[in-house]
Amino acid sequence: MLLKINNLTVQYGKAEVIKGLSLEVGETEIITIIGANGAGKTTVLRAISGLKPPASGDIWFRGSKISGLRAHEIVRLGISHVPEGRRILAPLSVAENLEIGAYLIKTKRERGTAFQNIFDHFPVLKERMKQLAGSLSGGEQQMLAIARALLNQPRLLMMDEPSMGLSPLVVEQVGRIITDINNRGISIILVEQNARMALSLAGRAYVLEAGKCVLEGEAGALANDERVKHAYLGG
Amino acid sequence: MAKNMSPGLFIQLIVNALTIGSIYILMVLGLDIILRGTKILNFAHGQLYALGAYIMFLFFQTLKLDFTLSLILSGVALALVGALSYLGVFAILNRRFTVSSTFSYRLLLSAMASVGLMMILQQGTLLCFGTQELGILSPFPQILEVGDTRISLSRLVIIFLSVAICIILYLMMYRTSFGKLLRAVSYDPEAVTLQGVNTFWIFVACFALGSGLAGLAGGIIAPLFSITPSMGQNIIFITFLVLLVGGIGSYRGTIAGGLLIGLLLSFGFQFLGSAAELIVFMLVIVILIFRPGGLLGEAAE
Repeated sequence: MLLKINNLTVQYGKAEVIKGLSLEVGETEIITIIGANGAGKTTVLRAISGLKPPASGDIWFRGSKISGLRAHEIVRLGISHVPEGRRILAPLSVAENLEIGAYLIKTKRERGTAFQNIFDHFPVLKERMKQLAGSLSGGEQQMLAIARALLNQPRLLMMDEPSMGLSPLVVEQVGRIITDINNRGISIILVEQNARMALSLAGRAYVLEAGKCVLEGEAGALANDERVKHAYLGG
Repeated sequence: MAKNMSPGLFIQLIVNALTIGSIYILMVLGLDIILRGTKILNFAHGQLYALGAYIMFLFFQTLKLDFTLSLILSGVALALVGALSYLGVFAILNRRFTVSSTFSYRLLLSAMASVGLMMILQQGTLLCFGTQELGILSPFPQILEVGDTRISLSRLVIIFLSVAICIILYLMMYRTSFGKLLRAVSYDPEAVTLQGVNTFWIFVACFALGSGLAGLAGGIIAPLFSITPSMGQNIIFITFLVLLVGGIGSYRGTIAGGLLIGLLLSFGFQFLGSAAELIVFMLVIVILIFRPGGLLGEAAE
């Protein structure tokens, strides 16, 4: 197992947002966490990346315990987090955003190779290098956010609502990018409100309701499950 | 009022305005770096400026070091004081905050803590240097005379040094990776953490850099004004004023605000005496009514 979560509980003040969640991600696997607004999907990702320390339970990554480590330490171990709302650095240029993304790459040569790699996958970013990140379109901003996360050379990429606010055509493009990243051997946790898209990309899925996992299984099977259809696929 | 103003006086007042204006600009740049980087409204900023002047006195007047070296040392010493202040006060306070602490609650509490820091620094300065006024003999006592215009070289040096510091600061913020990190953390610290940066040390660096700028401002002005324990209180309100008029987070706004307030005070004191401050404060209220985000600030539409 690449990532293993045992009995995770997360609290905001006295409110328990995640109540005893267990979850696994295998090597080169795409899993998705779906659920309604406020079910705790974002909180799970924040707990994994160290932005929100869990109240109890533990998180293991490649055989070592990461719960309790700070966010900047967890990134170095190989978990990248594309946060909800993309969180690109709007007043900085695209080039500066990528430079900060490449913070952990220490030598100039490696940096050059990593940037070349990014431009191969996201040619539009190369054209926009000097532009302020805030002036990019929604889809381009999402690509910048993904590119920035990939510069950390992750084994596990976590994406929070990558389809949010994007046109259907761009959502499709983001879907292809996710598959493409996965084909390079990177595992992915996809958190989505767009359950249809998420279930079509993922191998396995977890359904979250009020901080608890109510259903888990193979994504294809869940997509045909009556309860899932009714609650999340509008059928 | 312009009737009895000779061209010589006019030029002198302009030079005075540029002198104090450039000091205000240095002060606001430091305050703004701290405010945006660490979300602390630092009331101790004026006291750091005063301490910078005292340390300039110590190095230049008492120890007879070179002027430029003394100035650099004042900046470095105050950056150190700033870093220690952050570690000793604000970093500890930050740990007391929880997710349910709202932004305004954090801002208020850290501002109150900075008032405490101001008092500690003020009393500390008094203990070390005493209550009497100190003065530094300017290393540039020459007076330039052109026609009936008399300008002290000392003031021109202050303007020159301030401009040089602004340019160095600008290059640092926009050309170095350290500056890029500072700007990024000011905008979204969490997003920067997710790139593997330990943002805690960036916060410390922000506070140190801002404090260092206050120290440089105090060191630069020391040969011109007498050094008193209350000089920090006098400048902190004007610094806040310039920050509000220029607008938070805008270099152009800060420069415009500093020069505007410098001009108003310089000409105001000449023709209105002590009523000048009253007029300036009233004018600021009027500006803020029409442009609540300042002239060129981030919040300005």
